[in-house]
Amino acid sequence: MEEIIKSIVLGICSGGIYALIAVSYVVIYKSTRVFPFSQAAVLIIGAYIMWYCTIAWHIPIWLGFVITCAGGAILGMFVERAFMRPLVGQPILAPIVVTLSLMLFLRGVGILMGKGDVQGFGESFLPVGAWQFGFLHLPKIQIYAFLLCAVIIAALILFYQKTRTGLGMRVVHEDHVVAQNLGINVKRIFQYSWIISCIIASIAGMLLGNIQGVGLALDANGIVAIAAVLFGGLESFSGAIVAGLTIGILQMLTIAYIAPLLPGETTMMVPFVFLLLVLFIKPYGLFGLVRIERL
Amino acid sequence: MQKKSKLLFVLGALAVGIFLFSFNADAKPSITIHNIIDLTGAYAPIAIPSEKGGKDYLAWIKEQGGLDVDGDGKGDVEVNYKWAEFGNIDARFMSAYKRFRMGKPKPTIIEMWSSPNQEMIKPIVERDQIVCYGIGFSDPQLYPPAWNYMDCWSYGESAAGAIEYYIDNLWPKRGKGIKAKVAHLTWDTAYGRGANEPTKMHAKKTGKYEVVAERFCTFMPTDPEIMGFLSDFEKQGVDIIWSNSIVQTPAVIQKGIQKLGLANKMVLMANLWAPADQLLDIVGPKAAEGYMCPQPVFIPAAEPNEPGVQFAKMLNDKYRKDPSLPNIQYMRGIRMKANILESVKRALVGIMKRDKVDLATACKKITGKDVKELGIQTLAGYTAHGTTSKYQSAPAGKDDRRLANHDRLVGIKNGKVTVLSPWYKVPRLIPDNMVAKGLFKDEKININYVPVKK
Repeated sequence: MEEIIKSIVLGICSGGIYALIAVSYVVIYKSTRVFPFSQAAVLIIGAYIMWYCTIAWHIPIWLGFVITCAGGAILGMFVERAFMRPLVGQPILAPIVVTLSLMLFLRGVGILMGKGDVQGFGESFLPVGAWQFGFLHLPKIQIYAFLLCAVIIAALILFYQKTRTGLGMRVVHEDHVVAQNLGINVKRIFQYSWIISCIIASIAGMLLGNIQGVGLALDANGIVAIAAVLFGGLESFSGAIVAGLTIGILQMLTIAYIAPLLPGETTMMVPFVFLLLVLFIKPYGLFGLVRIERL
Repeated sequence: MQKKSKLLFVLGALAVGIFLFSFNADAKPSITIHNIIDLTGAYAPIAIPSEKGGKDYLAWIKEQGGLDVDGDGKGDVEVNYKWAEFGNIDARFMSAYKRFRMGKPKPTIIEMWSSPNQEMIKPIVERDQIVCYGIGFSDPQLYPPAWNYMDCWSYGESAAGAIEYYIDNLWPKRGKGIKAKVAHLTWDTAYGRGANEPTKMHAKKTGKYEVVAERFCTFMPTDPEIMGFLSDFEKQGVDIIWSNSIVQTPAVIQKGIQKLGLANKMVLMANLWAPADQLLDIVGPKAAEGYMCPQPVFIPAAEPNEPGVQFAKMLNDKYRKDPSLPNIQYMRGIRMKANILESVKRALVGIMKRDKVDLATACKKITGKDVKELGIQTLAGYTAHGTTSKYQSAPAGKDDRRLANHDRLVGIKNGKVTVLSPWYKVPRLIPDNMVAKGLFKDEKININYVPVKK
């Protein structure tokens, strides 16, 4: 029982970041219907910007955080304006290929930024150590990262529900033509989506970099988050959150119960096996919208 | 007028051509070395600083006028360097190999990066008679011996030596007749698993420890992932964790040990590709405390006055001026290129003697077989400009394909990179079936580490 509780608690901690990355995918897909594979590589860029700010340039952490968010915003704006906007109205394959190419391009930028080296934040920019509750060791760094993820996701949901732009984004999600007829600037909404998504991915990147080290392999987390997005449903924030946390818990349970039985690395495999099972039963994901077309 | 200028143009072109031809005729003989390197894939964190050292060494050789073959202090042979980046993708690796093999001159020795690729190419380099100078040290490359040479000992031998040295000399429970419990926490790849089976064999033969767990993590593990494994190890009473991975994985494991307050219960040791100085940079002195790894070169952060470190410092000051260098990887990069060029040089000298030809002819005639038999196989005792110890006595026999057999344990103590042991010869872990086949008869096999007596 102890083992199960431990796995669930630690899984929720790591799942928080998966949920945040998954949300960054959903933000773009909800408004543009383009699946942004490139966000996996934005994690790398965000982590390197924060590393440059705090370690290379010795800028205070709060300012580093602001600069990283600003960097993410500029990147999102640039990507949308330069690469995605010309593809509006083109067959769906074109933007997919472009986001895949962007992923490779941004990895290349990551190589240039980090010169290929794995970097680290030294003693970390979040509190280190662990809280002990009986048999439970809770790593502070992971708890703080989880709380930050929760705050960002909550703020995003509030933004969608309470602001005019958020309302516009929801309308665009329903139907682009209807949104245009209502006087909503759809292209601007697309741009906002990319900006918000890249800011979120940059924050997730800096949090992951703080835990795992800053390097090219950070994008592997983005790949796991793709499983979370598909599992939760492409258009659903709540789906992304539930799926991110579930994948974190599943990975921990795998380590505790399946890893000792199998002679290989299983933590990366489990989310995808689970995803296959879910998609087999619910092809639109757990919380995805089932679209019915009238013929 | 037009005709005149045309004539002048033709004459001018001819003069330039003749000048270039005569310049070439006087040019030094040349040799070419090759490298298929991973600068953008999983091995980038180790390949890049190593290659900086290697490139600076080649720049220095060029400044000396080339490779000094006759030992008069002046360069005699121009060194050409061809390299290809493969990003840890097999198809690109094979493509680069094929391109090199079909190009001119035919490669004699190729530096290669990663155990899986080197294992894959073993029969091919043997067929093509090209020496593979590998930075991956897995057993399948060593046994049975072929054309794969390894920059160091095998992963298993290095792990066994480090674990045994620690148990005998540094382990708090030493001398109590208790067997240490060892767990492998590593990558699920040919490289990651490199030390698992050999250490099991070594544990059985020495009786000093037992391998109680083998677990596999992702390339970039998360904190909770590692903490899950560490909780499991704590329950099993593990004393030593060994990781055959690259620095980012031990960095997370080491942080996890400190966070869970397990530092007084277990230690983390990783192989040479997770150097202590790099780990210290990543996790900081507090979290890095207690980490250990074996290294076959002198350590710039701990031994700044060693001649090899001074040589590396000179190269960095001259060509790079990077304040973070030289580090351990930079030293190893110099050693790799120095070993390769020394092999070629010895082969050239051998050809001149054997065939009674001049240097230019030897440069044209040189083959992979010459580099293998006259060069790399004779490197025992070569210190590569003092970057490593004179005690390195490998290859130790005609079937040995290693270029190092001595290590030292290096770790983080009081927040600093510290050398924790004298040089010791690593255990020689040759599989029993190889000995039964009649191989390695000319070697003295030691199952325990042997400290060097100065």
